[in-house]
Amino acid sequence: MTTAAVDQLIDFIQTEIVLGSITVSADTDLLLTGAVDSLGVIRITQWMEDSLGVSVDPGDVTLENFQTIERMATYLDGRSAAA
Amino acid sequence: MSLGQILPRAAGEHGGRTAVLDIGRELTFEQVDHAAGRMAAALIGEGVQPGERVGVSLFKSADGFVAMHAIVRIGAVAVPLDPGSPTSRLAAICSQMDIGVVITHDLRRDALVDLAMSVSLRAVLGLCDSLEDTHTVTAASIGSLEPADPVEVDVGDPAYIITTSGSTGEPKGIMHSHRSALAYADNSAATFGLVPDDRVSDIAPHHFDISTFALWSAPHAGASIVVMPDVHQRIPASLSQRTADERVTVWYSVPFLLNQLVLRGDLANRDLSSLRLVQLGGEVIQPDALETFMSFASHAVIANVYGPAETNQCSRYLLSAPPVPASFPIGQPWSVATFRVAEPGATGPGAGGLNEGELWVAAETMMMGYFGETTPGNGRIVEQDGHRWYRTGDLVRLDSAGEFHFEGRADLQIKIRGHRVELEAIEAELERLPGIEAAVATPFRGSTGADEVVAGILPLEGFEADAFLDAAREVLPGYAAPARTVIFNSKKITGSGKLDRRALREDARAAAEGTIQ
Repeated sequence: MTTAAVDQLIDFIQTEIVLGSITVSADTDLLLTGAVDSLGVIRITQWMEDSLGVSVDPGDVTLENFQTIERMATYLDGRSAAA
Repeated sequence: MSLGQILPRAAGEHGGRTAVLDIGRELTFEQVDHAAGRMAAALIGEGVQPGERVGVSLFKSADGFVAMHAIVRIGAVAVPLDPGSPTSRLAAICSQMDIGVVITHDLRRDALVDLAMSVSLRAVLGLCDSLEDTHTVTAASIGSLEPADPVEVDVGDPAYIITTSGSTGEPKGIMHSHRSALAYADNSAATFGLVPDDRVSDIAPHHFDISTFALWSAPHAGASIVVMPDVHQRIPASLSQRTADERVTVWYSVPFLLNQLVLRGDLANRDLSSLRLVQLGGEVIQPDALETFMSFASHAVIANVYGPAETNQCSRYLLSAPPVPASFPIGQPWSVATFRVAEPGATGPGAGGLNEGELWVAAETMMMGYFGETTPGNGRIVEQDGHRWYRTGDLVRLDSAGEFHFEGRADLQIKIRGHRVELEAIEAELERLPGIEAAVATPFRGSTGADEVVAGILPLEGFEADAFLDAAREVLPGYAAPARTVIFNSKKITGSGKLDRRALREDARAAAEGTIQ
């Protein structure tokens, strides 16, 4: 897993997505803590598609792949390996 | 009959049947009745008096259902606190409503730590471990209490308060009594034929009025509820999976969530044949998305449900097959509500009878009033012809078939994903932030396909957009915080020399939607 992807994700999610005064790190639970709302998840997937050029299948947008930034990075790694 | 008696009665009639399906636990009516009784005992133990406001700070869970029933059981008044709102806002609600006791759970522990630093709390109930500086009644100690019976209440007494933002940005508390809530529970259960075999989706958070169908109507009819946790609501494919797996029969949400299911819910791989009724309310329906949904849920009747939080649901329009009309009617009022259409801005409903105009509602399900109001409904409630009439601010049209249609607002209230927002309130909050001469706010349809808020800013020296967006998110609820900023370099002024907010809002919207550069 690339540190660069994790850093990019942290940067994007912290500045554009997070609600309230929560500071996110790679292993923050974004969904259970309420840091990210339903629109936030959509915007993260759109950002992955637009800025990273990864196509995200709706069936891949699961709790398992999106709960933390670490998991998103792992998912993205798998996507680019498959591509 | 009071709201506090719903669970004991259901426990007597349906004791061993499932009342609440949460993740990893299934509770019978007997179990939720006992759980509410134990939480009620804990509240009494903390000296909570009838009429006292009690905060509820919980994510979507069986805990929320139990907490709400526990509070009304002892005649206290439940105030659900939005988990998506910043601490400053929740603290303002607690101060305004003199809330000293809050029910919560471990997932909200950090939020409670923050809240306890902003307001003085007498007790926090439901955490696993005690807070450092605030008296805590742990979940374990509550679990060992003897359940308390419901106390006698006057059905005209307050039961719960839904908070929304007024046009000044101050929280406005919509206060319902046992009577208005039970009138809604009775009529909604009867209208939609709720039976014990129904499995009702529990989606909306309790600070959102459409949650009261799963909260009161379902147990009132002996039906089960299927809790849709916050995480599932953020992940449409998981939301549709849970709906299919748990064989939900009655769905109730804002149209936004249904649109998400259509776009990202993997519906082609879901069996939604159990759905018999889909209630949608809180904002305007997108016909194409709904038609797609109906093709995957062919047994479901669609109900477009109308009613401000002040009146509860008071009309609905049923559709059993496509096509979805471009203007989906809100239908006709049910038996306990009366509509009158008057000239917009009129001081009362008059004789009504117009085919187009502003809607006034009289209903048994209507709120008592706003918390701390100085005049009835802060000027929005008028007594006439033996009824209390509420001025909705909604513009409606009556069609030739006798069905009402929603045509927009008489003021600047908008709906963002079903949440009610006053544009002036957002603007007032934004203008308190540093670096700003003036701010306008308006909704726009972004690339997500959902409505979001854009802020149009007339900046002062040193304005910084990122810092501004961060600061805005610390004072506004998530849905009302701007997703985008548009900077104006020059003012627009009206003929009378004031800032032309209407023109600036239009410019901000156009810029955010990319229709002008």
